[in-house]
Amino acid sequence: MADLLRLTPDGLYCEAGDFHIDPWRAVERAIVTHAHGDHARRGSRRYLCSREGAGVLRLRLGPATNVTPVEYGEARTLRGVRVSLHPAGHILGSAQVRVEYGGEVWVVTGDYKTAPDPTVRSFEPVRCHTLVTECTFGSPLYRWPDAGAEFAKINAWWRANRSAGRASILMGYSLGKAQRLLGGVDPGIGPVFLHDAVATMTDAYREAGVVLPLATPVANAPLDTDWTRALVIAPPGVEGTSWMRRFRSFSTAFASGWMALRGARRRLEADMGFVISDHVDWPALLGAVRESGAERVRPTHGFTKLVARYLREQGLDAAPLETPFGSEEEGTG
Amino acid sequence: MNRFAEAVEAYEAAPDDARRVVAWRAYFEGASDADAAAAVRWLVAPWRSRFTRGALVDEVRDRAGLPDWLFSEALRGADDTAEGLSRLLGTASGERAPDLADGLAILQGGSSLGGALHLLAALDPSARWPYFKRLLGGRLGIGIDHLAEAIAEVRSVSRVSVARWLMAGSRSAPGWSGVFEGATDAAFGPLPFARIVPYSGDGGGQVADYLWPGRRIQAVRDAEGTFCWSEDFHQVAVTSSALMSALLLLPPGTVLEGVLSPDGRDMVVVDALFEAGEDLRAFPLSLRRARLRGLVREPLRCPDLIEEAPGGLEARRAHARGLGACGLILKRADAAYGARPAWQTWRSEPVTVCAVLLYAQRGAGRYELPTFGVWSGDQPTPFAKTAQGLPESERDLIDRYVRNNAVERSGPVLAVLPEWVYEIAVEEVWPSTRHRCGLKVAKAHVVRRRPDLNPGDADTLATVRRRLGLPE
Repeated sequence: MADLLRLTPDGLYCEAGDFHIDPWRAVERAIVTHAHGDHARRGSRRYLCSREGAGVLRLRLGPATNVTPVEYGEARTLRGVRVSLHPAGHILGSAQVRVEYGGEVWVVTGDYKTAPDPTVRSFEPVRCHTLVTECTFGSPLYRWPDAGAEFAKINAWWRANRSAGRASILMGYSLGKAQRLLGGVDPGIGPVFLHDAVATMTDAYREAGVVLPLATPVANAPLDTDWTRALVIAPPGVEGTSWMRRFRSFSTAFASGWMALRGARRRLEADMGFVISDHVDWPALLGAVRESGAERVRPTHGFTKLVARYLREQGLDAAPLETPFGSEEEGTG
Repeated sequence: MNRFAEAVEAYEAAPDDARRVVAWRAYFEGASDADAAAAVRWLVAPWRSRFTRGALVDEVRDRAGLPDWLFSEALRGADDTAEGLSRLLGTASGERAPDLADGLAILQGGSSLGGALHLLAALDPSARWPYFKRLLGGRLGIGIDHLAEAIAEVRSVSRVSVARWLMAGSRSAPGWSGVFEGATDAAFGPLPFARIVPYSGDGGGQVADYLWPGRRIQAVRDAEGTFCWSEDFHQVAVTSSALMSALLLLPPGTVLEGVLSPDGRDMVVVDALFEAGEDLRAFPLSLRRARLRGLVREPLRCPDLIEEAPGGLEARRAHARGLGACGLILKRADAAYGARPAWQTWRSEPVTVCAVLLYAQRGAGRYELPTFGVWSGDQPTPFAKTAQGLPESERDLIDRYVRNNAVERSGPVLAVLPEWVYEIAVEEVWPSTRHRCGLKVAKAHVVRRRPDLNPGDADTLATVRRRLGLPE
């Protein structure tokens, strides 16, 4: 029997239901796990995503985009194929896609994390026969430290900068990571400002009902703002740009799972690296595979071969599903 | 033990000297006397791990509970073995980590490999790195000057005496209280260095020394040992044991001035300031040089003063490159140390090299620190990294060019194909095994871009070496 989902040049395709999941080319019908640029691309005729994620998806793809929002757990039938979305815990509105046809169930995780994050709906394990799981950090090298401890480090860095009279520029991807950072820092230390790209996405979070501390867009800050006490949340890539000049004296930090490794921290152009990831680490990945009850696993995006081989040795039918999601330039780690 | 690792991490992350010092100050302010002493001893004292790399890797492999292939593959994915082992040992075991002094006693003392790893397993994965690094025979790369400044600030004593104490610690491993003893001890200087100014055309004096590439230092022999100090009062490491032995044979109370090669293996001495407690600085140079001759032995080198008629010095300067020197220092044979007129450097004409632009490193908002290469066979080899002499407009040009034509990115560096040729003036160069071209270019500036030349017209490594008077 042919696979329910298979890779085509356009992306992951369900022939029976005639839809694509996170296609990288324009298609007729796209089911989108979340609004990050490497998963949600422009140009498709119709999009289907979670209700929570519809706002940020339109922000990303343009207001004219034809988006059908569905509730988590609400089943749609597309040409006889039952499709439903389930929380993935990655960013606002991120979803796993459950696809059922002829008694066979596949789940595509998209990007996900199982660790707690107050700014998103928690990951819910979904039972399936075949699991297509991301494995960005699928190596035993990656075990996340407790997020609370990392946020304590961020707060300590901010306090040290404040007493040294330096602005604290904390960099993270503008959709998802930035809001998690905003929700996790201690707003009692000083005023929080947001880069405009971050502010736009933060508004979308607030509209979706996520409670976040007060923060001012940098563009709205008065000219005589005292930046020395401030925490500024900005996307990576602002370092070295003229945008930074207003802060005069500052320290920069980058929050990402990649910061778990010393070499990555050393190659970084920022002063500090904090390990805050919105992906699963090695133990969480194995836990998610176990909880899905899947007999077949198709790791994608990351350490695919390593994860597949390990799972095969654990008695599962596992083989890499290679996709060109590869580009990490947007720093979604 | 976690706090010490945090200090190492903060030190590495610190973007400037001030914050490197702050990292250690924060550690020492919160450390018990026993921990502080253990930390310092471990950082400065030479220490050989009792465990081999293979044994450490195998032991962690046994504890990691992963298939062998997966362990090996993951370890390869880490940036260094210490980092890989730190992470593959798994999350903290939950046992209480001992204080640093006790922990280091276990790592250094008689415990078994299993005992050492049991200890490290109790630490956070991110806190294990410095311990694994040293167990594997690596270095943490902590500057004694930063350490000395931090301790001096915490204990309110002078930086020089702390630095001296730290260096002494490398042999006698004193306790923390040694900081105070070192401070009260009337430690033997480094002394003020004689001033050197660029040659102004006259008044330089009638004798000369060659200007050797390297770091100007004072070697200070006291009752405890010999310490080398740079002009900015940092201690400089002598890496050759033969050289160190020769320096230790000096009588206590002796201060010499010399030039230490950048690899720390070769030293040319040019002056004696003190001999066995006797201040020689008021004596004329010719006499000091005679006393110096009697003091030094191989492999320390003590060349003769060059005595020539003025025209003769000119010729010597022209030939200096052939000897590996980069010019002359003009002195007066009858002058006291440090007396006016100051010594004058009379540099050889720079050697001009045509080189191709290979990389540019990001600086203040633009890619403006270029690396130039010369040909070694048909491969361009990085040779000099300098932006000196480039006007603003040329820096902008390089920035635009590398942004639009980058073929590879490596952190803050963009690489381009070897197409643009520049004329580089090289003043100071020495052989180096660390640099791919075999040369360290210490002083160089860009003369101009050469749009009239093709990349193939740039110099080869062999012609550059010949022009610098080095064997090919």
